[in-house]
Amino acid sequence: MQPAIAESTPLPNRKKTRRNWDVWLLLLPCLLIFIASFLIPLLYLFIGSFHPFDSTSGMGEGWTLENYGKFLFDPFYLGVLWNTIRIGLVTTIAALVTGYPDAYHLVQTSGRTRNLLTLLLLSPLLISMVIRCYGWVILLANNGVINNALLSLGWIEKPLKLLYSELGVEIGMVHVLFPYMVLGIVGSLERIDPSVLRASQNLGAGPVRTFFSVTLPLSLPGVFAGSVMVFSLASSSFVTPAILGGPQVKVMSYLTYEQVVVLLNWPYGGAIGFVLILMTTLILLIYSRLLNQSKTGVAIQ
Amino acid sequence: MNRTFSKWALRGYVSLIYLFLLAPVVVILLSSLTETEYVTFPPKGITLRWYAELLNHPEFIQSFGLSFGVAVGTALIATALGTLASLALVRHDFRGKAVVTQFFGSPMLIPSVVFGIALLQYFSWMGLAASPLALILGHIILTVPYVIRLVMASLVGCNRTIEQAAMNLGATPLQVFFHITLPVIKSGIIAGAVFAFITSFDDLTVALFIVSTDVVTLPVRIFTYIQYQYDPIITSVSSIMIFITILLMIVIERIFGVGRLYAMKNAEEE
Repeated sequence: MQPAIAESTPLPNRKKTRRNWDVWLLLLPCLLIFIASFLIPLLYLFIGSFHPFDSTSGMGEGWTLENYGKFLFDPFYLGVLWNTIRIGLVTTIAALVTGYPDAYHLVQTSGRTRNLLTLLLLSPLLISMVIRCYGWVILLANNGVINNALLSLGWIEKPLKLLYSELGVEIGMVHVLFPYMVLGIVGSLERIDPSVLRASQNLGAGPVRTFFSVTLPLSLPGVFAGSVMVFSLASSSFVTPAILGGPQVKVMSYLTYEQVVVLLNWPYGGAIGFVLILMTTLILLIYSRLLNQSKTGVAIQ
Repeated sequence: MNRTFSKWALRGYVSLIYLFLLAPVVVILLSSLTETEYVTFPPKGITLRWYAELLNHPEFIQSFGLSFGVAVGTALIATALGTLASLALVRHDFRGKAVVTQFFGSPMLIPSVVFGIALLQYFSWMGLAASPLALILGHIILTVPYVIRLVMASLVGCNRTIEQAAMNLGATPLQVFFHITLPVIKSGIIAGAVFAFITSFDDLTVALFIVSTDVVTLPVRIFTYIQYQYDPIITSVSSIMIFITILLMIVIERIFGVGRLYAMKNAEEE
C-alpha cells in the first residue's frame, strides 16, 4: 500500500548503533498511542466476535464460531454482502465512465485554468460528508429539486423514489468519490509521452484511432488505480448509505452499525465488521498483485 | 469542423460535471435563505432568519465548540506525533522499519465504521465515558497516517548537507532542528495539521460511536437532527460550516496548493 514510504532510502548512518535508541524515542509516542487506541481496540473487537451474544450483558461467556457461521450461511446477510459489492461496482463504473472525459479534459488544460479546475474538482472533498449528503437529500427527496423539476416539465406523473433507494446511494457515492477516480486517471494520462501521440498521428491515425489505440491503453493503469480506490472506499463507506439509503438500503457498514447500536449485539456486529475488513483487504491484495504484474509486463516490453 | 465540435462537446460535458459536483453545496447555501418553515429550493424569499434562529439552539453552538476544540486538539497532537515518527522513518535505518511504517499506515485500510465500534467496545470495557479526550484519541488514529505521509514527503526533499554544515559549525541537534529542519519541512507540517483539523472536524463515522447525550460533535448532531426534522436550520448550520471550509481552503491553497496536498495523500496509488 505504501511503496512511497518503503522505498525512501535513508542516508548512510555513521553512528548507527549509538543512534538506535533515539529512533525509538522518536517513534515511541506514536507507537504507544497506536497500540493503546488502535491495536488493542481492534484485537478486543476480534476476540469479542468469537463470544456468543447475551441479551442482558451484550457479550456472553464462552467461545463460539456461531457469529461467523450466522453470516456465511444466512441468505439475508449474504444478500447484504452482495448489495455492498453491487453498489460498489455500479458506483465504480459510473464514476469511471463520467470521470474519464473529465480527466482527459483536465490534462489538456494548463496554468491557471488547470489550477482552478483542480481546485473545483477537489473542493467537495473538503466539505463535510454529512453536509454534502444533506444537499443530496434536498435534491433527491420526493418533493425535492429533481422530482419537482421533472414533474413540472411533465416528464413524470408521480415522484421517482430517489431518496432511500439504491440509486440515491449510488448518486451520492459517485459524487463523493468522483475526485479519486479523476485524480487516478489524470496521473497516468499525464505520463503519456506526447511524442507517442505525434508518432501515431504521423503514421496516419486520426484523433479517434489515436485515442483508442494509444491514449486509452496507456491510461489503463490509472483507470485501474482509480477504480480500486473508488470501489474499496465505496464498499466500506458509512455516511452516504446511512443518510441517502437509510434502513431500506442495507449495506455491510450500516448492518454493522445497526447490530451494535440498535440491536446491541456486539459480538455479531464485530463479526460483520471483520468480514468487511477481510473483503476490502482482499480487494487491495488482488490490486497490488495485478499492479506488480503490470509493472513487470511494461518492463519486458 | 469536426475537431471544434468535439472540443466544445467536451467542454459542455465538463461544465455539466462541475455543476453536478457543486450542486449539493449550492443547494444548501441558497436554501438557507428561505422564508418558509421547511427546506425548499429555489428558496422562497430571502431572509437571514435561519441564521438568527441558531441563537435559539444552544445545542448546535455547543456542538460546534466541541467539534472545534476536538479538531484543534487532534491537529496539534497528531501533527506533533506524526512529525516525530516521520523523522525516525525517513532519517534512520532500523530493524522493523517496514513493519512500523505499515502499522502507522494501517488505519487507512480499516473501514471507519469498524474502528468506531472497536473504540466503543474498548472504551466501555475500560470504563471510559464519552469525552472530548476519547474523541481526540480516535481522531488521532484517523489523521496520523496522513500527517506522516505529508511530512515524510517534505522530509525526503530536504537536503541534509545544510544540516551537516550547521552541525560542523557547532550547532546542537536541537538548534539544527528548529533553525534548519523545521523551516524546510514547515509546509508539509502545516498541510498535515490543516488536513488533520478538517478530517477531525468532519468525522461522523467514528464520533457516532463515542458520543453520549452531553458530548455530541456537530456532524453527529446534524446526522441525528436530519433523521427527524426537515426545517431549514440545518441548512444555515451547514452553510456556516461550508464558509469555514472555504476559508481553510484558501489558507491551504496559499501555503501549499490543494492539488499537491491531494496528490500526496493519494501517493499510495502511484
